Amino acid sequence: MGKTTLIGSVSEIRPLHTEEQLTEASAQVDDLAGVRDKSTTTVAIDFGRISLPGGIVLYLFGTPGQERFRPLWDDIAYGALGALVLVDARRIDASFDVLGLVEETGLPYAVAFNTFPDAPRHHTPEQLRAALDLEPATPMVTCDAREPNSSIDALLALVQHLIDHRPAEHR
Amino acid sequence: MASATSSTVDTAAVGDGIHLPDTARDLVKILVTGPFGWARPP
Repeated sequence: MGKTTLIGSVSEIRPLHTEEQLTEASAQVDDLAGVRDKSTTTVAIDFGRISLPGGIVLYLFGTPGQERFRPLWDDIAYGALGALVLVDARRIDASFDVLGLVEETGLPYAVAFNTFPDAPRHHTPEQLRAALDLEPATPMVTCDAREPNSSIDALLALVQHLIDHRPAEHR
Repeated sequence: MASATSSTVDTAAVGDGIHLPDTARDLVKILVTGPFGWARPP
């Protein structure tokens, strides 16, 4: 129900997935706190494509969330115009590293809180924004990565942000 | 807008997914990222 799920829910082509079973080898590396029933993880990149109205075609690259994949980040981010950062409201603190990495890269981004049945409901949008220390202009939406329309809405929030903040020479 | 992006995706081993729809005007590469550890098995 995360990056791989979102790309799979919206892609108009058969998405490339690189999910593999978690093994004992990752037991001391991958933090499963809060997600004990997780059994697979992305080991390379996921890839999908979606056409938006107006002739805009998005190529979606799902990037691994583990810190050990950080050396790949520059190559994966090459040519990207922006990033949609999926955040789990149950584990907000786990998002700090990824957000720091995106900001370090200088990519415009939007934050999408992926919703889960057991996600805490007592956080207001203002509290979530404050917890992540987001800039006022950074879009923040909630989405259900399993639902295509919800995932598309999150992507549209990012695209609108990119359009609104595109360099002057592209206006 | 398309040049840097297409040079990346054209080499991706994704079969028919690398071809642009006829109606495409702009090609945009987007990252979908987030922390590890919050997916569940299907």
